[in-house]
Amino acid sequence: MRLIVNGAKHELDLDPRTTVLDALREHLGLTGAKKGCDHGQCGACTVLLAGRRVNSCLLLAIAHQDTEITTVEGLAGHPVQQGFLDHDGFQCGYCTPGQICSAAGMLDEVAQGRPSAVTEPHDHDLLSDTEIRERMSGNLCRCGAYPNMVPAIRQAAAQAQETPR
Amino acid sequence: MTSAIGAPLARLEGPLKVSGAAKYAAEYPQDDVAYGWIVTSPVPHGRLRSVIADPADTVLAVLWHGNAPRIAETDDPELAVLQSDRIAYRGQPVALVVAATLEQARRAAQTVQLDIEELGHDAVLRADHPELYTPEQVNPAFPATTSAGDVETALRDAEVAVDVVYETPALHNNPMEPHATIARWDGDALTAFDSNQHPSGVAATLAEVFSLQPDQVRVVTEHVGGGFGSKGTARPNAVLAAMGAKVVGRPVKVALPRQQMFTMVGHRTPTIQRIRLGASRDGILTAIDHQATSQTSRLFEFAEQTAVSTRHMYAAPNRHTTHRLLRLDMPTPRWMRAPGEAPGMFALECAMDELAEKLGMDPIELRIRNEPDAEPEDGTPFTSRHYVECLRQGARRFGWEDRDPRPRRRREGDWWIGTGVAGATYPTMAQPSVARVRKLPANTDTPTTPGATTTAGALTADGAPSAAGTSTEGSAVTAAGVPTAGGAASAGGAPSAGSAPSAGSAPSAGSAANGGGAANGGGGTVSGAAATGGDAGRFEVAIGAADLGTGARTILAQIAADALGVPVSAIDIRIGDSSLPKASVAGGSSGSASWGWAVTGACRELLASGGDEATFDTTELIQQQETEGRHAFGAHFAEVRVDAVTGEVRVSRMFGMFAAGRILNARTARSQFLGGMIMGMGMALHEEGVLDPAFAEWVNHDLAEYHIPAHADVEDIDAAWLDEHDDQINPMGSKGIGEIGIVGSPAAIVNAIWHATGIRVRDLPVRLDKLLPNLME
Repeated sequence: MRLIVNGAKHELDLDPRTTVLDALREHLGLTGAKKGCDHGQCGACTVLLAGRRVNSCLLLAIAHQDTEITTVEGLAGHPVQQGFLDHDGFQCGYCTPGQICSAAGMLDEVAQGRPSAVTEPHDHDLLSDTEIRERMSGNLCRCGAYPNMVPAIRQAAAQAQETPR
Repeated sequence: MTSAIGAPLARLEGPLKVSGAAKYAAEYPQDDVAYGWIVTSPVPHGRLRSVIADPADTVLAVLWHGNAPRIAETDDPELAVLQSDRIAYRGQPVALVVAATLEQARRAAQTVQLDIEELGHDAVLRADHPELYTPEQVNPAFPATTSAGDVETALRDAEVAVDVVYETPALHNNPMEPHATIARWDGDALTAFDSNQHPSGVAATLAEVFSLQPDQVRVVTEHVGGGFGSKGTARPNAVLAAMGAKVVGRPVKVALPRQQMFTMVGHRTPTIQRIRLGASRDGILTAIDHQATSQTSRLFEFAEQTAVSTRHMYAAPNRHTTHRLLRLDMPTPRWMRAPGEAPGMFALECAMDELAEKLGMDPIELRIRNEPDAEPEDGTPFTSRHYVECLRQGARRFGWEDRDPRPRRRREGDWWIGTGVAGATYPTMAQPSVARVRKLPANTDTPTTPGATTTAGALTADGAPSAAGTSTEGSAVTAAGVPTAGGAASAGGAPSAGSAPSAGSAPSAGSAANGGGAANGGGGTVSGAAATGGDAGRFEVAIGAADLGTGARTILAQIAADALGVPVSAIDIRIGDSSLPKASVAGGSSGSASWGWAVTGACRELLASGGDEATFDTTELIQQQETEGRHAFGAHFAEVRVDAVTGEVRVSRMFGMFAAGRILNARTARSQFLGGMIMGMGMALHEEGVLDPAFAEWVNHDLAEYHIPAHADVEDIDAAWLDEHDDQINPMGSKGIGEIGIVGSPAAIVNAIWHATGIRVRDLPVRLDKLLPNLME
């Protein structure tokens, strides 16, 4: 089968039961995406599938051969990374690639004006702290680095507005 | 020059972690690697007669006690995996499937047939169980019972008394990185890439288990995705990976699925705690009694020190603490962040709140009135104790002053609002460690070693980033084959350090992340001396410590820089490898003190000797040290909103004020305090292993049903600390900070819930169903 990851095409001979996450980690050497629960419950494996954030542990690789997959390794230089560094948005670092991919995807969702569960009608600030927390709640962090991720993501959002990528 | 210690230096490995380049245990590429999957017992008690693999499955090996190689016993019976037919708990490893692919191994583990003789079981802890016993001692080596004066008489005569029982459930550590090991044998030499808190200790254990010489085992633990106690010692995955690799003659990777982490790696024991307090009407304690009941397994006596904090907290002439234990057909409890202190202080600090209510006294004032002059049990002076200052300053910063002490008085819309306070304490410890420092020739590349050399890069001691233009360096890590180490974070032209909003007070890691040029060159490392033009030379500091996200790597570089009188950028720090000088466990909030002491000693010795290399062993110094009277203290404040209709609890504010000696890195310390407090929120409101007694199983054994705090749970939270000086504890004057954040924070929240609603919930977590029956007026 083939996979398109971070702009590169890969031909692979994989067991059809292989998930996107295992294809990345065990067969392509891209260990940025982490395995935290393998059940879509923690978000550590978050990658972008055609720009949308997904739990890669829940996807079979064979079903996603023609869709562009972006991992944290493909987000080099993204403002969210710098935000996490500037605000100590992590401790052990294991949930971090998933948080970063999730934040990158989330910022795109906000740019498209998509509401969240806490968005009130006629609410125009889709990136208030409450919004960021709600929108990031699919990504667990056991170290409790959440309070530092919020300003990290806010900073990245501001930078993304200044310099459209 | 400015002191590096205390500066808010960004984590040295930060650029690796945000770019996905940091390597965790299961991520080291190995040729011809095979995959191990652990088969666990589906019954809590019994005998395993046989294991039959499905012939349709493609496997390399199915190991069980009938065919597994014999290994040596250690002091941890749970590492004697696949050695006996005895099943002591549901979830115990009973077989290991090894296959060429992960998918094959997992499938074969599902289809394997276990022939088991099932025996009866007992899974429920209760305070009236006839088999409860008093252990000889509680962890690590405290007497199980202490007593002074006459508690019963004092309680009978007390003007005001409380007599309450608190319960805490089983809690599960759940670090984000599951326990994992890749084991490979090269002849008789074993290398294990293993996720743990103690590479030196895990290597020693594996040597013992496989009857090897210490130098035949190497454990690599470069980055660890959290542990919180559950990775303090070798877990079954390490032994099984090594056993599997030996049998199949290939490297074997064993990574635990999340579900298995609820049983075989440890958890926090449930507790039942009776607290009795007696006081005079003016709030002076006359009696304190703390009786703690917890459980252990049939395999191993783990006696949690639940009531030990009570021995140090408040003055009272009549006092008693005791522990009882029950052996059950359940997994062995182990350490989880502040073992003993976290559940014990929940009970004590809630009971103090109940006493304050009965006295009609401010709960802070009650605590201040019972501040001891010295250790309450034996009179040992404290090396430093600033609990009262934490309460007072914390109260000021939190805004406690105008609080109406009466409950159920403040209502905003559908929300009842309340505030609560609780004290915190954690022992200050250090454990023997060895560190080595070497002078490296100036302007010379660091030797490329598989393992863990991290360079401070362009960050200077006072935290100011050097000019982006002169920085040619990422956080250079020499792990062979890591592509574009620091450069990954910068390839897109990340903003320069100067433009980052935080430049000024907090250091921007930007300069470390920006040096794409050097890091992109491949596996090589460019020295910081070349980048900064320094001519003082560089130093390699090596110690087999582990950084679980604590910031250990960073603070050790800061400590070494100060001890040597050089900038942090002149330090190459090497940790996370058992082939380095022997270090103690990253546990008991003792890592920084233990390793920093050894690093300081080695650096001083190097300077004194004028030589090129020095090694320092703290064993004797630490053995000579007094252990009593050494504690960190703190005070937690919480504001909660409780929905008057649904019972939903929101923690709208949390504030922690700590006195924990010298803070080594203001940035990572704050993060660690906050992390502990957030785990305390989980303990108060979310976390609970729900036991099904019929199956002796925690039914919610995954992250969908075992709830931990998520982003949306954490609102306004902050931590601060006093500038506490203590020159009696270690050369840095630092106390541990990894655990105190979870001590007391659950009580502050539960006390705030009472203040909001008038409802005392005495069994954690505070769920909706415990509030709802009494919430409606």
